[in-house]
Amino acid sequence: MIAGIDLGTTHSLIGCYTDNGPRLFPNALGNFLTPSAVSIDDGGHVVVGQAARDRLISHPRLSVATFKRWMGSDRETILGTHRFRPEELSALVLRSLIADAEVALGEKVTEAVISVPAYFSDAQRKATHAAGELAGIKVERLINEPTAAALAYGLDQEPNGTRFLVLDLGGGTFDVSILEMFEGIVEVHASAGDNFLGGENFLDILEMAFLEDNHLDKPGLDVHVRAQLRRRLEVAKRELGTRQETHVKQDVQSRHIDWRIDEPRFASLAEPLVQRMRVPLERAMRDAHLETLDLDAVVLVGGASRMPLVSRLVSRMFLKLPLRHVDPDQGVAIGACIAAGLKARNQQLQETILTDVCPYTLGVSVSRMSGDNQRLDGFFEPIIHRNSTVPVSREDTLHPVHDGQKVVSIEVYQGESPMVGNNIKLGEIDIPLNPKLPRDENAVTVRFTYDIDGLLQVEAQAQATGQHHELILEQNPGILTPAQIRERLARLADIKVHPRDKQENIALLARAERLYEERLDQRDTLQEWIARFRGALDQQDENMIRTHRSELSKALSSLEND
Amino acid sequence: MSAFARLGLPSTASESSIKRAYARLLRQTRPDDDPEGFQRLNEAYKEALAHCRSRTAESMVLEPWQNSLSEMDKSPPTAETGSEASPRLDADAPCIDITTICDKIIAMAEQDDMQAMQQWLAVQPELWSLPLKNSIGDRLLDLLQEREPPICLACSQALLEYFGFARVLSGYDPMFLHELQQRMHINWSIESNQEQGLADALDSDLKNHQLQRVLNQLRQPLHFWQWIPGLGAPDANIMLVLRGARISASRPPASLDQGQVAFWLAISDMEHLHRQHLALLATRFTFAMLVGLMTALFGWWILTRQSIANFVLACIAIAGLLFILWCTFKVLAAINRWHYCPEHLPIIWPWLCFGFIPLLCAGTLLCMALNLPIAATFLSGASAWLASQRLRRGYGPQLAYVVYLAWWFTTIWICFQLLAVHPWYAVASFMGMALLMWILDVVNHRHFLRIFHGNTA
Repeated sequence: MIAGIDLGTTHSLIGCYTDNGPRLFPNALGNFLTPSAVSIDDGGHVVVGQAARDRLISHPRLSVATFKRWMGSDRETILGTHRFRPEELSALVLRSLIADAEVALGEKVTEAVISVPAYFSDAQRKATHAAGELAGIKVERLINEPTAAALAYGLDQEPNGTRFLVLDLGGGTFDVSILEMFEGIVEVHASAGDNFLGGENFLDILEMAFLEDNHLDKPGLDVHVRAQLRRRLEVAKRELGTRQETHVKQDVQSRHIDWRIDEPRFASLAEPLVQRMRVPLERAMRDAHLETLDLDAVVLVGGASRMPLVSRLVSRMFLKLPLRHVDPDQGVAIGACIAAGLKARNQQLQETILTDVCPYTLGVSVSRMSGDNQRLDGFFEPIIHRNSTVPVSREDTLHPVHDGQKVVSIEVYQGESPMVGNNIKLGEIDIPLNPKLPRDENAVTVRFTYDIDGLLQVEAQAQATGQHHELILEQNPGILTPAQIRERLARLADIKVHPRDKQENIALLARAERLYEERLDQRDTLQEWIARFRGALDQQDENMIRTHRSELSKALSSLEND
Repeated sequence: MSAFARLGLPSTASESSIKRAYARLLRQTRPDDDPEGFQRLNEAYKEALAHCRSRTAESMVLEPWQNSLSEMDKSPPTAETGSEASPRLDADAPCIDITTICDKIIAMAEQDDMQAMQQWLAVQPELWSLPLKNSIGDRLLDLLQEREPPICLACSQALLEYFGFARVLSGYDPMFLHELQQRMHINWSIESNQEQGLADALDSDLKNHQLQRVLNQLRQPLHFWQWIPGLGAPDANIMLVLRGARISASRPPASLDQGQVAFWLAISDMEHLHRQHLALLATRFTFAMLVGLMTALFGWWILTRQSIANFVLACIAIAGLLFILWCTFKVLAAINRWHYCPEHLPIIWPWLCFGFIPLLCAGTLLCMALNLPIAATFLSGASAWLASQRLRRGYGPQLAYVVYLAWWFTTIWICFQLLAVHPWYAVASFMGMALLMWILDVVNHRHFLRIFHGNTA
């Protein structure tokens, strides 16, 4: 069975395509959304999901979240005695999701389609692939998130000639795609995005305003206080989606702060971020050669798109109201399930074909002559143009600068700036030339092949010598080699995970500990409850645990709501 | 029309029939099964679509964009957007004058405050509409091209960024955009009405007239005869210093920005730089000496009726002396520039090496004449090392390393052999090697004062 997975910055989901359409699987706590958080508990066990999110408050040094933002880098997170790369943290989340899917399906999950932000780079895509391998599954395809969301939206629509724009503002990434549906074909015209813009940035802005209004500085804050503050601000941010104003109550440095924020203030604080969102939207529209009137709809997905300022932005730019047909949190996951169904060639989807694009330009570094005959280095020569339909393979011929040059160095870049200095370098290769030939006869042919998963292959051939070279793009500190993956796989196998039936208890305990951390006034009561529940767990009597669990759960809910 | 043929359609096919044919063929060549076949099909499809669209565009009477815009304006914004959020265009003037907006934008940019300009751009209601923004951007680019006086680099970059030109495949040649920005910026820096602003920006205690003098110098092209003191402009001393440190001889420096002007100012600041006086004095003195020497030589040859061979030898000696003086001058100028602008080091470095090698060889000769074997060996070794370093950069990294090591081993071996005969032979062979490599390097890089990276063209 091929699973469809949405591996998000803040939440992850899993599902698959059944004959009745896409179906999502709940986790051990009965929710579709599993928070993308990882924590290590006192026994050295790994905790994933809601419990880990709660432990971010009670044990901030042993817990981590938003690691998707570090994918493709070699940043390591230290949790207790363990060191994790972002791929490994993602793999732990994937493992927990797969366990949920296996329980729901009653069969083994061995393959998956994972969604990634459209604007994810080569290194970030490879890291996601590696995360899948570390979780013990074969990643059959990486699908771009807005494309997935469009599949979820589009398959319910009129089959003919609908053009729409999908705006995906997730926890950490912002993506835009423009699609067209006709005759069962889902064609992506253009994608654009910003990998460092998401709900978390809006939260940062709220946090900064809070600290400034209350004359506090970030480095002076205790880790626990900061984690609590961010959680409360997150709640406030959500409330501002439906209400005009809200309050944030927080005890900082023995001061009781009651901070008021209203929607207009939040909107003006977030204005720079809104301006940043305009850039990818305009780029996508330009690249698709469409006018605003050509669009039939604008679809919002991603949890952060619930903010009213996002729909205001859409109305201002496109002069139409955005649609929210699918649940913004589930859209991408449902689309990933459909993509899994497409991959498995499900009967229902026989007639549907998806064509996607390469979201960024890939090319090489070249020198150019200026008008006054001066040579200038460092220009970017595109080979695969952004928004070409994938899979695509293109070649270009390059000439050396001098007659009798012995070597040309081909530097591969990804990006949109005309100068390579502002783009991302993917790798380089030196091609030896025949130094006896003049420059016009000493050309090098470079071929770029970009496959359907968004992975790039670069080949070069010196025309005079006929020698063939292939560029290996894996020598990047952010990319694991197959040997490193095997080694890390062995290490991950040693890490203990709680059995699935215990997870409900662990999540409840984590929640109680978080409340203990947050509610100074109720500490004694909470301590007593926690002790009693731990005592019940030690008895190992399933019935007793169940009664205690429901009692504690009710008590915590009433405490939280009051 | 091979694109239409590949889709199995007549070249008059409509857009919807192209799409139908593409959908049908796509089911036979799925992108994940047959990537190459799919790419061919997709290219044919796009070509056919583009052809079909250009045909319809030709046949249709093009509505001016203003109409579509006013139409948009009439459709009332939805309740959720609120009135302030909608692009409010003046109802009395449905035609928006693009030139007026562009003039406003340029007026904003002229204030040289990039952040204020960006904030201003963000709140302009006209720029929220995409088609209008595109036409404004195109018009703005035309205006910028003809623009006098120009605007500063930060603002022109921000404008290109904002209107989406600052990326590849924007439909404009990147070289054109690059040169546009450079021209704007360079001219901004030396524009005469920017002088006060420049003086303020440089925050120097230099007098304004000095800035003016330097700018005047920099704006003029430099001719070779101006190298000879006395033939230059009245401001010859500034000129000499400026010229001495300038690399390119025939036109203003390519990157004459604020930092560069600051550098030239510093270097020409006579009140603070006695060294400049000295350098000037030294050049004048050497020039006088040279003229005297040549007259004396000619007189000597006429009077004593020496053989022609002796005259040629004397000429070669003088040419050598001249050359060494020239190298000294270059090295001094480079050190001077380095002293004032440490960040210019990458430009100065090859030039410094270039001048140093002959100087070290001359030093070696001097030491040999004074019978100082240890100093002579040291100097010749240093010159050989420097020259081999210079020569090495012309080759690929691995090859260069092998050649380099092999060269050193053989040289040292030869030197030991020669040392047994006479120490001077070893020193002379080192020196010979250094000069040989230096000449090879100069020949390799014909424009030896400039550095090229062995990159693709």
